[in-house]
Amino acid sequence: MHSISRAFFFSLGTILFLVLGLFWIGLALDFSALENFIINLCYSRFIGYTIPQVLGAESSHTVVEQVFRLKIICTLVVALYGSLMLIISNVKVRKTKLLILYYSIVIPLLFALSYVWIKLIDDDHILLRSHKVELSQFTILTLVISVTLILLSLKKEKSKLSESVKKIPTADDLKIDLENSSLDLETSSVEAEKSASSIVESEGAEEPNSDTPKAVEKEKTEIEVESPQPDALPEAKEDSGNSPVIDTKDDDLPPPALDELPSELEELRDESKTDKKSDVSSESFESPQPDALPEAKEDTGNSPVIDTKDDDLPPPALDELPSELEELRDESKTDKKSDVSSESFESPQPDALPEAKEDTGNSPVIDTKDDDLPPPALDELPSELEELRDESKTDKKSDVSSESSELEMKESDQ
Amino acid sequence: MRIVFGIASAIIIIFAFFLFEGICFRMVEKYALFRLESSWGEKNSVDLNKYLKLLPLNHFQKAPSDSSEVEFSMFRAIEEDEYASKIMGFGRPLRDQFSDYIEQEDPNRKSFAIKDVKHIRGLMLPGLKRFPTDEEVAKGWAGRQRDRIEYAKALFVDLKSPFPKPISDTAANYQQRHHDYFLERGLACLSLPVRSKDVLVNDLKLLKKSFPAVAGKVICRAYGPEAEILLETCANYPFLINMLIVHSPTGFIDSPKVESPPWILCSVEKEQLQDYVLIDGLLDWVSASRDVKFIYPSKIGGLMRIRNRYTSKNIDTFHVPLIMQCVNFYESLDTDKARSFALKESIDIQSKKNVPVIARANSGKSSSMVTDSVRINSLQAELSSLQTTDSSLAYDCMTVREYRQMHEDDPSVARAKNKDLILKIGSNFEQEGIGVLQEAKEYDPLFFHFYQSLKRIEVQSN
Repeated sequence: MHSISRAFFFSLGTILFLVLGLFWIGLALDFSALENFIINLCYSRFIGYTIPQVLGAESSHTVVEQVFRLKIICTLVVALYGSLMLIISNVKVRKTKLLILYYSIVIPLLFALSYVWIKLIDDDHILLRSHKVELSQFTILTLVISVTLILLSLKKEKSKLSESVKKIPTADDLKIDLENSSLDLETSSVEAEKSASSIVESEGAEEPNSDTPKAVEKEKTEIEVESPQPDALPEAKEDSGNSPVIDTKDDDLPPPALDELPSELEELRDESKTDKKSDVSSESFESPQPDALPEAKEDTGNSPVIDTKDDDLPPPALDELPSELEELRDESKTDKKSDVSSESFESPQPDALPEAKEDTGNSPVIDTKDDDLPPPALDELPSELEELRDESKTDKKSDVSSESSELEMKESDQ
Repeated sequence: MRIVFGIASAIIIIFAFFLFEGICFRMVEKYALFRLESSWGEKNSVDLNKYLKLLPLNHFQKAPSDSSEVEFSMFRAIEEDEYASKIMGFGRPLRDQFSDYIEQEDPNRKSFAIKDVKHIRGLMLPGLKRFPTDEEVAKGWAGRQRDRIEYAKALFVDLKSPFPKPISDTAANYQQRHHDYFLERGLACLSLPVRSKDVLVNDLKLLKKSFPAVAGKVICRAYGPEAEILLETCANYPFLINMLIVHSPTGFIDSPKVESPPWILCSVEKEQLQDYVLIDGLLDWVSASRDVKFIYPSKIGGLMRIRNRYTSKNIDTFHVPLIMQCVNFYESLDTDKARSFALKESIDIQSKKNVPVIARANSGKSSSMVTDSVRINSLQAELSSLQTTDSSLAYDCMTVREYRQMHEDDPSVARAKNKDLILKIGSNFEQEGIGVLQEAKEYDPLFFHFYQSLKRIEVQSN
């Protein structure tokens, strides 16, 4: 479109200049038709004046003078409009292009109208009825064209806004986005976990890394909270008139109630829960506490974004630990008794457990970034822990693959 | 940026307002007349509107005769032309209307009464009738007050050559439509062939006597040689004519130096500008007609236009609004009896120095001193006064008045009638020589006319 308009205006400007050249060449070569045209123009009348008189010639001027005046004025007008067309063709902004075009018509028209009327007011010129009709037609036509073009130039462009309004996501779009984002997060978390484990392996230290899956789950909940709820859509549509981009960080909007969620989202949420539970069952030592989940959901009402970097969170209570960890703990106790690298085990200290029990009621999230204690060396880990670590790696991989396959299935269904 | 935008908006709004006002003034006759009367006041007013005078309206255009910068009569004539076109701007809507009226054919043309008066034929009356006043009944205009008399706002006389050339249908149609236009507006019309000044004077007097309610105000128009006759007539009998329209006169005579001269509109061809004597003479007429205390005649009482082949058609309509204003002005003066034919004060001041010369003139000194020695204060010479029996006004002229002033102490002169004094003074001048009487004629043509008439009557009666 842009190139077409540019080509059009450029061609028009070029044609005007060519016409100008041909005009003067024709006059120089004494083309009788052109001469007759100009002379007839000298005798043509508009509201009782001849055309040269309208353009400022005196009634006493000879025909030669009037013809010369007409030639000069025609040349100036054609040259000006030719230049203007070339300038317009080089303007890239569509609105500016139209503005220049509109005002290049409106301003000369209004000037011509004012000039004609001032001339009539000042001159001792008699208007017959036919002249008055001509004058009124000229005035009305000029005013209508001018007003129309001025209104067009003042009109705001709404095309961008309408597109943005159209881009307000529907519930299905949100669901797809949610699934995509969860997939991305999981894959990224898996990759991060892989990289972390590889780092650990490379360092030769084997550590039960329960941070990554929990972070993935927390991010899932964050996405669930942050993603636009179906109830919030009308508000988003209203706001879209001013700001096409939806503000996802608006903390003033309360989250929808659980019963207000659409069925698709609820199913998705349930599926994610079941997946989490299955993950927890499979990876019991790294999943969050089941009792803590409702609280986490409640907390999201006030703060949709959960702070995963909270370093003050206490370790989990003893009764909240999974059975494998308890067994592992018991074995470590026995190992401690036997004084076999009992201090190298980093996870929940028996002395700290009572305090942790008290704090877990408020914060179910485990602090995963406690870097004060160095990880144990691989050769220092007991054989059971090494086995457990290998099993957890295989489980995570299988879980990630199963979840991704499920999401793909859903997408294909949608 | 906002200030610039505001200033630009204000300028555009003011410009639009002035443009709109100008359009209304140009196109709407009622508004044009309203603005004129707002600026100049009533018809018989003597002061301009002091507030509107501050605005750049063309009603307050300064007359070119006031400026001493223009030395050559040709340039002064051009300035007069521009002044006339500006000052008469209020008349353009009426001229538009007149042009349309002339252009269009009216199949249902209104018929008007046409009357003949002796050898004067084709007097068209507008058909207006009214009841006469007591004064009019006393003057014999009507038999009694119940009898309605036919009247007109004015009489428009088109002076023609006694040997008329055949005219085209278009010209004849134009003349007919022209008369119809004035008839519909209450003006009587007449086409009058004219041979000489005296014939014209007699015809006008006859019309005034026969149709006093119609020929109360006379407007004459003439071309070429007839225009010269008209100028001469008006110079000698300024009270006979209220307005004269002369186109390209072949000659001229000095303008009458009275306080209330007739209005004049003269137009000359562009080629005539080379005739400096003629242009100077016409410019004197124009200036004299504007030299009046009333606002309206002081602005538009004397105007000059220059014709060329492009402007001729426009100027053909120029007289229409001027005639209307002239008629309205004299109508307003009728109530006040304000038209004065007293000589102007400028002559009075000049002649004050030569008061004693009258004695020398009467005692046989050089007759040329007579015209310079007569001191005249004022002279009321309404034509109607000629028809009254009042001896103090009949045959009143400036020579008689001066003679009375010179012999204030003589009771016989105070008791004597004007006609007796005219016969006495005239016979004395004749005794001094033919040249003395001729110079008296040039100075006071009214006195000469009265003397000739009375002498003839006296000879016939004897």
